[in-house]
Amino acid sequence: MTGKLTLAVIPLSGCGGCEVQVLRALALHEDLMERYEIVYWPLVVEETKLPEKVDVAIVEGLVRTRENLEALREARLRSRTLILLGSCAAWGGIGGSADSFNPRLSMKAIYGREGIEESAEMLPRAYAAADLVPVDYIISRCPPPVEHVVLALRAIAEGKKVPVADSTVCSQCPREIKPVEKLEFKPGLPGPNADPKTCFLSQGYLCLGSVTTVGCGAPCTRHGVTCFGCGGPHIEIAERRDMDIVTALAKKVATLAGLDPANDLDKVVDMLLKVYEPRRFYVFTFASQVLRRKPHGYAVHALASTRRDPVFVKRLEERAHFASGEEGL
Amino acid sequence: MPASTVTIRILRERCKKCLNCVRVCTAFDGVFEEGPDGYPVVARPEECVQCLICHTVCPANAIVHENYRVTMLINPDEAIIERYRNMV
Repeated sequence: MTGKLTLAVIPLSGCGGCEVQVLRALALHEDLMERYEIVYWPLVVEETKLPEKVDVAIVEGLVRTRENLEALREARLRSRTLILLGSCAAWGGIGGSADSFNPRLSMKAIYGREGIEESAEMLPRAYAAADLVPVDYIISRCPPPVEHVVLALRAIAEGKKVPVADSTVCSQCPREIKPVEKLEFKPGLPGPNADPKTCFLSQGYLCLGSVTTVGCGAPCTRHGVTCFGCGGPHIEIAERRDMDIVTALAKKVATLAGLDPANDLDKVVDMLLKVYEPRRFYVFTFASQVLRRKPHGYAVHALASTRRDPVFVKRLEERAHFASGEEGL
Repeated sequence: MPASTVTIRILRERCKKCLNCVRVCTAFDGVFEEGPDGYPVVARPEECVQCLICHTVCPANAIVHENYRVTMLINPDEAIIERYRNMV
């Protein structure tokens, strides 16, 4: 061999944005191109089969079909270091919202029949890749910053450990946190009336920055949009069974308003869930088994409320009816 | 609690000066206090009961408890032997 590490990028059901970030990382940093040799990457090289032994494998996207599952298992078996790239692979991501719908009804709404024999076999639910196989590194966010990809690839090439993110987006956000006089939540996104210098939580808007893992530099809050939590929950929330995104956020807001985080927790959680749909807290983590298994979590509530949403169900049925009518013509 | 074992640090590069830790501390006098520059300071570390509620309410995870609650499993056989040895 040439002394280079072999690199394989395996796309699952995803948009391909994370692959573009890897491409940018390799294009911008020449030292990475000297250390890595791309052996399998459908976007870039013509090789059609994953080699038997790979040093570093990067997996992108979530597991939606049987083919995805086999590709992921193959990647784990044949690679020495497995990196999951992006929110989809780590937490289910936007694609995890597919769990809101019945897959057979969705197929009917789009194609007019429940299944297509010659197409890929759909799994009954969407899985985050991190729930299915043991992994070495997770680079979350949607899309993952180029710097993180570079840091991880460089550290692996040098045989070092990659530092763990143990803070939240708040630590990089320039907005000033002020105590809340009267606890109330405003639905929707902040408009032009919102104060550009004050924290969104202090103003009563829902911002997930205080429960989301650090690493982006808080570009959304700098530009006046609340954090949607694309990085996934903070490591302490993911690890501890008694914590969840909703309860952790409610504790922080309750303390800002001068309430007791232990005794008034239920009150604040009720207020939050009255104003916002439960799925608003799990935009990027809807398919993650980590959050669905929390005993005091609301991810399963979010799933149930979305599946029973009459507007969603009615729209799907209408579309299914329309699709079948089209085919009959 | 043995005050000498636990060291509380506030990481200033992360701290957002929200003073949630000052509001929430369950110790009688409160471990944290607002400093002159707006950052919280660890005024009474010997009061800390290590409930770690300040960790859960800090929006930026800026509080670090070093040497937190060192748990040791004692060997019961050794302890019993020691007890009987003292009795005899």
